[in-house]
Amino acid sequence: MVFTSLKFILFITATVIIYFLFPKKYRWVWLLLSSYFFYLSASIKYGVFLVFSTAVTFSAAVLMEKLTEKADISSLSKEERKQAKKRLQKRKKLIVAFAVILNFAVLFLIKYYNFTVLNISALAGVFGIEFSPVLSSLLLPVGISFYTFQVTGYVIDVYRGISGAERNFFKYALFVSYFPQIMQGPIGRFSQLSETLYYGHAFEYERMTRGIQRMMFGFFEKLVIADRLAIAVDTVWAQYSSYGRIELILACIFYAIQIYADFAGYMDIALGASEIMGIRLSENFKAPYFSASVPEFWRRWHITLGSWFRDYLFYPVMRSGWCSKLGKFIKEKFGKKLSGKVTTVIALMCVWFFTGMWHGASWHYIIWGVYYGILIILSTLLAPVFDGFVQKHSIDRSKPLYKSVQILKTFALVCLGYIFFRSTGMTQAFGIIGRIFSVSAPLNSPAGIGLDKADLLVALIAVAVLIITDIYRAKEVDIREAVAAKPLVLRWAVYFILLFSVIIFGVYGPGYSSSSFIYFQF
Amino acid sequence: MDRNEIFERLNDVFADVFDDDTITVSEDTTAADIDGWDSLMHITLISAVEDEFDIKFDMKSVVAMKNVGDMADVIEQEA
Repeated sequence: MVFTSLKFILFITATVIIYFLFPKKYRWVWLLLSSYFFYLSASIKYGVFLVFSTAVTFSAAVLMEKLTEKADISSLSKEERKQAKKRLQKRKKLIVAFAVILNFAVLFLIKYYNFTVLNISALAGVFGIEFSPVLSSLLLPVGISFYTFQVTGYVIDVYRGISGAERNFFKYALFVSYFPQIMQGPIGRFSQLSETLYYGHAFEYERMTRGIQRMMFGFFEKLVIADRLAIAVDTVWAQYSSYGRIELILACIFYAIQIYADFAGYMDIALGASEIMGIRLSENFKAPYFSASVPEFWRRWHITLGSWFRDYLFYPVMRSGWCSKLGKFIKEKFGKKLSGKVTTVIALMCVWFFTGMWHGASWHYIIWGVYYGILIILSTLLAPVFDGFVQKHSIDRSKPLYKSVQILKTFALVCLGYIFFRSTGMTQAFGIIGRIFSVSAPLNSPAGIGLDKADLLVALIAVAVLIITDIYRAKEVDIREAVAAKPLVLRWAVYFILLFSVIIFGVYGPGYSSSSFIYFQF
Repeated sequence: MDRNEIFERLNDVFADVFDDDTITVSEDTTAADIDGWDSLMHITLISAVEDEFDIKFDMKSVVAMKNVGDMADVIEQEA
């Protein structure tokens, strides 16, 4: 069931009505039932993986907490206490490692097995060893990359003592399966979500209207902007060799807007739907295209994925025993400055390799991730050089012109990265890049890009609306509050224009597929 | 070690790590208050504080500390 389908509209309406009819204490039970209905309506088979992940992480967390409770160390001496704590930590480490490895093993088997064995077989072929690997035909359960990260984050948090273990299996099952977030995130943290998820929220008219407004804007982003620009992007990408540099650059910019409107649109529908029931989910975007640097872009784009990698991969790698040993070795041989840089580079490359891989089992995603790794490493290492340049030329960083140039530079780098992301393989990606930067390629081509003038005009106006709302988001001003403060006529005019623009300008037509949210495939 | 002393020494560490002598941290200082305090600098800062006070932060503290006050709490407990 996709968010932009009539089925979903019926589903969310029924879910919300019944949620508020349920006794407050048991409202979370209704959410669990409707979440499983929502998830299993995609495929009953997928449920097996979901229940498995839920059961493994639930048991691991409870086991760790029980071990902690059982370890009575109050009567021990200081030294004995230290030893007992160490033993306990070791046992907990085994449990958390087991749960995390088991979950990632399932993800690996389903998502990365074919990619790995095919690459091994190709590599073996280079050395003259021929074999045809047995391939898996398992289908990728929807949302598995998202909920695997959510559940592993949870057990690690329990291990670290950041979260307590949820003792009610069904309550925990709701945390994993909550329908607005299971398909595409946001990747939630138990310590934040549990406070609001199990609480029986009372109906509030204002909250409902705000939730609906947010959902409506999500439909606008997805149906009016993303799906319209997708037509041009698909057309140019499929026949890239027959287009000129202008069309190719335009397609990259269109794709940047498309993927943002697609993913942020999904988030607005998810967060809006959840808000109606009083449940606040984490924000995943903060006007990312207004970022003045690539590291800043990644703090504002897919925020919950970035913070997952930071807390569960980057920090552990940087704080690991082998990393500090390596750091010490380099410090002794080559000095303190280099030591810090080498360990940072290793940890960042790890993070970005896996960020790329998280998006899909394909080299073009990995290269896309590594591309960001290199950009972020360069921006970190070269920061003193840039600072020196700015000081030497007395450039005022607070000037709007400086900021605008930085934003444009960041956007251009992000667009370049999208070529790898959007392409179906490396040949296509390098083909497009080669053509954009080739002087022999034509500047433009007579072939159309799939959108007529009227469609382009609608897209242009809709993108202008998106930019205006993002200016508000960047300033952390709630645009819904700003609209609500306007006179009645103006306020309702905005709501109706939004509603009718979705109905009239939404891309439905023949060939329309409402199952095309980009992040569904991850 | 009293809390004032902890903060005095923390001020020196922060000034050194962020290369800014004007930094003065308080209980409520967060990453948002200090220019450049991102995840990379966080790890550098943590290591510098560990060296200064001869302590070791666990992962819970590294990830979940919300402000400098939380950092001082851990130092007080561990040192």
